[in-house]
Amino acid sequence: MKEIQILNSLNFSIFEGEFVGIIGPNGAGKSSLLRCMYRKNIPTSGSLKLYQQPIESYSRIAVARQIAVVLQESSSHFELSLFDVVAMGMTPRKSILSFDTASEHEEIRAALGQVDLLHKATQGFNSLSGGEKQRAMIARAIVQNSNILLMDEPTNHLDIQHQIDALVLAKKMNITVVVSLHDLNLAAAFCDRLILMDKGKIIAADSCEQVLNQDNLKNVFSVDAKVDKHPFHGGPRITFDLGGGSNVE
Amino acid sequence: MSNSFKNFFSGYAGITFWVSGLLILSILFGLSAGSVSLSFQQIFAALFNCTPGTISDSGEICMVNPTNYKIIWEIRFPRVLMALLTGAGLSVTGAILQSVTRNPLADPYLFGISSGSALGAVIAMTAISGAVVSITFGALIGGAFSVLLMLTLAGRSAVQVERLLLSGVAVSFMLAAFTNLILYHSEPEIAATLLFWIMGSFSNSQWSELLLPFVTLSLGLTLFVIYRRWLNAVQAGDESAHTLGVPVNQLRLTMLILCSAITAVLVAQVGGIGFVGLMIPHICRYIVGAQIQRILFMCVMLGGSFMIWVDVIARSLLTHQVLPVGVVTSAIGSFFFFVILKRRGLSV
Repeated sequence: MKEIQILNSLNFSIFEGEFVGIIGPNGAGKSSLLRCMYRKNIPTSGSLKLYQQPIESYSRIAVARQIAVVLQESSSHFELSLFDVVAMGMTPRKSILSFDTASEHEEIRAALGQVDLLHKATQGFNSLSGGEKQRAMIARAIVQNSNILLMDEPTNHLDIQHQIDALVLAKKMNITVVVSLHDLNLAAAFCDRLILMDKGKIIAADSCEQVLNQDNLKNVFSVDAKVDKHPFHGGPRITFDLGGGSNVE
Repeated sequence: MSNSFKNFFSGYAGITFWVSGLLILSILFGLSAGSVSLSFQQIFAALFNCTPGTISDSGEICMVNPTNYKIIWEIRFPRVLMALLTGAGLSVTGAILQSVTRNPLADPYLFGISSGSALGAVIAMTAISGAVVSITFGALIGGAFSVLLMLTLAGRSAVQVERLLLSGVAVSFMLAAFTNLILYHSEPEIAATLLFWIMGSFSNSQWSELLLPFVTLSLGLTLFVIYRRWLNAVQAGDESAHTLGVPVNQLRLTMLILCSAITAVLVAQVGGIGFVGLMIPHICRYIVGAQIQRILFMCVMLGGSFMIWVDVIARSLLTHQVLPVGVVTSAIGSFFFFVILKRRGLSV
């Protein structure tokens, strides 16, 4: 089987408490990078360190205790209730022989309350809307009680209100958050720092103002855009030129 | 009736109460029904009063009918318990296989475990000897062989559920073909015996044969309950389970081995009984949701009860003739399943 190099020449650090966005076009390697970060994929060369230790030296459970993950899409193949899915967050915290306690059930209900889904606790997970499912997965991450949250395009298929809700909830957790996003304006609004990727490489890793400039947008996304100051949050605001830059005739 | 009383009988605790009652009732009917019909009073007398002919400390002679005592203790009780263990075991393995593959059609048959066990047992019966130990051993070897063959066929892609299932189906048909070939070349009398055995029967159940299925199922259930968090997590997808620290591939392999061991032991004792491992987990999931610990409990209760009733029907439907249990399970099961799917839109 022919090996394809998906990521190469990556060098970056993420510091405690940061809200870091990974942006880039489709196929840039954002999800692959995140998968390396939660130890689903192991890099063939180089090293990825978690608290100064190579991530390979951590067991699966140890990684799950440090890192919670919200995937692009979530589903339950059988009819698990919302409560059941959020309760899964306890999995890395509990020993295999231990039983659930009343205080843990209270903790799960509190997490559901934080994402405003407590009233749907007994409802089937698959019957929830896309936005509710993402909020539920954030509740699972809250229950997981880890120090780092990785989110792989959590705003896909969501309307604007639910996109904002998902990122506000992640921000409120006050832990290190790394999120891959397609919406550059949302990235500018929420992230402390951005990592811009293209073809498996990092093109820029800096503050939103430094990364989101016209040249980077033209070179990486092949679109013309105007970048000015956002009237509400003061970060960069990107307005795309719909006439120029498109490759579609 | 107070609200808390009503809630108890409609909630999970209530369901537990009802299905436990159903199992006890099923056991009593299983002991009662047959060519000699016994009343519940006669059953209780034989079960709890005394041994016929013995004299109690107070000098009273035991008046329990010795024939009834013998029918219950030597024939029907081991038979009912074997049916209970078989129904519970096949339902539990079906539920576990459906969960770890996230495939609602998974059961011991789909993975070729039953076919492998049946082939092993048939080879042991025809080639080695008819002793119980060798049949059990043959079924175990056959079950293990089918799992190994399935994993080998799936190759490096065994981590992919779809590939694993397709390999299982191929193995199932291949081993069933070998079993049929042996049947075809057997003497007519032996072929008839083998055929009846393959279709399942509790006719020859004895107390001594109950130990191995009981120990295997108890051990399996204990491990399933221990791994319940991981089994629940896998139901939301492999990637999701991985992010919770679950070693998905190792878990799937462990569960396959455990399920094949339980199936092999049961097939060795009672032959091949289909449809139970597919149908009962769906009914349980419909009643108590997808939490694996609840499904396991329900599978033991409902699977056990169902199989006792199937055996009662198998030995009562025709006069002086016992139907193969597998025929009855498939007939009832497919009809029942169809009705539920049609009327309630059964969610999986």
